[in-house]
This record gives sequence, C-alpha cells and structure tokens, in this order.
Amino acid sequence: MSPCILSVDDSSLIRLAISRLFSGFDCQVLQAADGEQGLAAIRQHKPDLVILDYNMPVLDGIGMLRLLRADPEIARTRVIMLTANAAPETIATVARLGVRDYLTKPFEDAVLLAKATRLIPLVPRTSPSL
Amino acid sequence: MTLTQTHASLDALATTALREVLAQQFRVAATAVAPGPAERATLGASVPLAGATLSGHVSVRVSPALARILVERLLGEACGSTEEAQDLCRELCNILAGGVAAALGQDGTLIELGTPSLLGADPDNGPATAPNLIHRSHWLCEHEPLTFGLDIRTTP
Repeated sequence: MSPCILSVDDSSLIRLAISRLFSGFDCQVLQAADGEQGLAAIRQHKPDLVILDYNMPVLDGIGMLRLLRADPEIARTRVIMLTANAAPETIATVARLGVRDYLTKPFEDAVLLAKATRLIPLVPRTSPSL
Repeated sequence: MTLTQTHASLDALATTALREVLAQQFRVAATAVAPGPAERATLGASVPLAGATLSGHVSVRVSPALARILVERLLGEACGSTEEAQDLCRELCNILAGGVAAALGQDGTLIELGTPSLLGADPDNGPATAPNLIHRSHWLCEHEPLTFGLDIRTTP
C-alpha cells in the first residue's frame, strides 16, 4: 500500500507545491489548512508522514503537535516541520514533541524529498499520474 | 537583537534576507532601485515580530505581475487567481520574516513570528507602529517592483 502524506500549512501555495513535489512518487498527498484540520485529517486517514507548518491560524503547529502526542491512537505519527521559524528554542520545543526532522523556509525540494525518504518508502511512479 | 543595532546593520540584514529568499525559494534575482516603480506594487502583506527586547513588523509589497511570476517559479505553472497571488504575498512575507527573525535573534533572543496578513492597496497604509529602526528598500525582480520594509521598536 502506497504511503500517505499530509501537508498542514495555511498557505495553499505551499500545500500545492508539496503535492506537486511528491506527485512523481507512488503516494497519496492530503492537505489541511491549519492544526485543527490537520488533527482531524490525521485521525481520519492515519497518514504515514505529516509535513507541518508552525505559524497557522486557528491552531498552530506546536498546539497541533501537543494534541497529537496526547492522543494514543495517533501519537506515533511521524512529523517533519517545514516552517519559516528558525528560532533554536522552537526547534528544541518541537524536538521534545517528537518531531523527526526540521526544515526551514526557504526550502529546497531535494532536501525535503531526502528527509521524507528517510522516514517513508517513496517509489517513483512507473506510469503518469492521472 | 542587540540595542546597538543600527539602521545600517538593519539595512544589511534586510538586504541579505531578501536576496536569499528570492534566490533560494523562487530562483529570481533582485536589483536595488531608487523609489519610483513601487506604485505598481499594490499587493502587500505584513508579519508581526515579537521578542523580549523588540517588536515590530516585516512588510513586503509586490506588483500583481511579480506575484504571478513568483507563483509560477514556486509551482512550475502559471498563477490562476487573485487568491493565489495574495497567498504568494503572505507566504513571501512569512518566509522573509523568518529570515529577519533568525538574523535579529542571533544573540539568543527568541523572536516570535505572527500570522501573515494582507495590507491595503495604499502604499502608505502600512502597519501602525512607533519604530525607532526603520528599513525601506525598493527592488526590481524580473522587471517588476518589490518594496521591502522593517519597522522595529526596541525596548531596553
């Protein structure tokens, strides 16, 4: 079964860029626009990897992470932070919340792909995606 | 941010952040210009900064044409809507604010970023602050105008 990736970011452009980035691989990419939507999507779809922004309306990345880790059903979900926030304190906080990797914007596609590949099996699509 | 930060060092910091973000995320170069073409930079966004010894805003304005170009560079396809152009402007400002906050916080000060918001079309209608350090610069990217601003209030 192909892996499922959830992009949680309030920027629709970043979500779309991430969807495009992974479109060449045999995986499903879901999107959520804030932490609240992100948690709901995680509970419903149990993604293999979440690519999470920090600054978001409604519920930010830290708030979502705390709720995620407090819910035994989804607490072990793998998370990469992708954010403009590069403060060392923030990086330390999310590391304590079990974030597997941290990438700051501006980001390079190849670096995000490499970090994702370390966490989930990504196989290039053998036929064009529909 | 140290209280010895000067307008000159703020200018250097802002210039570095802008050039890096445009080059790394959007693969475009920016050329500094005198104020002038900014009247076409009608799309604007702002991100608040807050730390123990400073507060303020990062703001950016671009022309709709430049927003479309940057969307195309990010996604690899043409920009389809006003909403995408506005989202681009917010996200560009967010990424710039991250670079500025990282540079200002090099002495260990934690600087929090707020959520990006759109500015009005009036170039003078920027964030209301009482800054004691101000940066304004005007740029051309792909022959289109971009204005970058920092309004910083330091506190002892």
